[in-house]
Amino acid sequence: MTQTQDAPESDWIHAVFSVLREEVVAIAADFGDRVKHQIDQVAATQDIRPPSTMALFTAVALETTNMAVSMLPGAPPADHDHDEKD
Amino acid sequence: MTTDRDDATLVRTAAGRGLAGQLAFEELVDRHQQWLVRLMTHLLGNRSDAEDVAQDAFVRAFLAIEECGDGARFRGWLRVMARRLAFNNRRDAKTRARYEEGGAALTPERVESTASSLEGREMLIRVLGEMSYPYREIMVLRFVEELPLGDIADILEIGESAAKMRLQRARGEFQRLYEKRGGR
Repeated sequence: MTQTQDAPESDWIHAVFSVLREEVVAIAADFGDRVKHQIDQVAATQDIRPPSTMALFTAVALETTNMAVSMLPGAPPADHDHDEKD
Repeated sequence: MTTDRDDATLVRTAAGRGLAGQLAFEELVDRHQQWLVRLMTHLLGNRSDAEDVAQDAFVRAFLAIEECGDGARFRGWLRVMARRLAFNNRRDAKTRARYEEGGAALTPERVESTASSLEGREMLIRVLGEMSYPYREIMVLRFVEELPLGDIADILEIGESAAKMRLQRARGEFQRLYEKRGGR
């Protein structure tokens, strides 16, 4: 970036600030994770949770329930052709 | 300008929401956290406040990502948002105190040991901490972020002539304080 918009006498100020320009700030190790965690929470509470994620969770939950039920003693076999009959 | 193109793609994906959108935004967080926390640290004087404001800025940006428009300018858009948050949360006296305790970390003993000729980063931090917030802000934007006057005016939401005048006065104050501390 140039200094063309500053008076020449500002050159020394530009030089003084170089120490801050070159500085790498030490960010907390978990900063990124904290931000992402909050984004995740906000996404859920603001009802902008990705539909695909919700659909995935729902599908997994249903499938898990179906599997558990089918494994119970005396349970009828899973009705996989349910949709076809409809 | 690979970064800009990548940002544009990520912003577009994030604006589309869905799981892919959230992951795209998280990549933007990874990419932009360093400079944003650095900027906030220089404005607010300590890392704790800087991280809080930066985190808030990211969350707000996520919620409003559809308003970003040109994704290639995500950085500038995020900077404006973060600057507003920093401005609203600033506490001049508190910030000044934290500048001195957290930024330069100068104890009386250290001040004495370095006599009146503080140099480099420590003196710079001291002087910035002594400046009024609007002046400190414009000095950081100009001399740390190295933004052109037009961009600074946009960020500060003032006219370019007003920004020019503020910068001129800020430079004057900086020079006075810097020389008072034996610099230059």
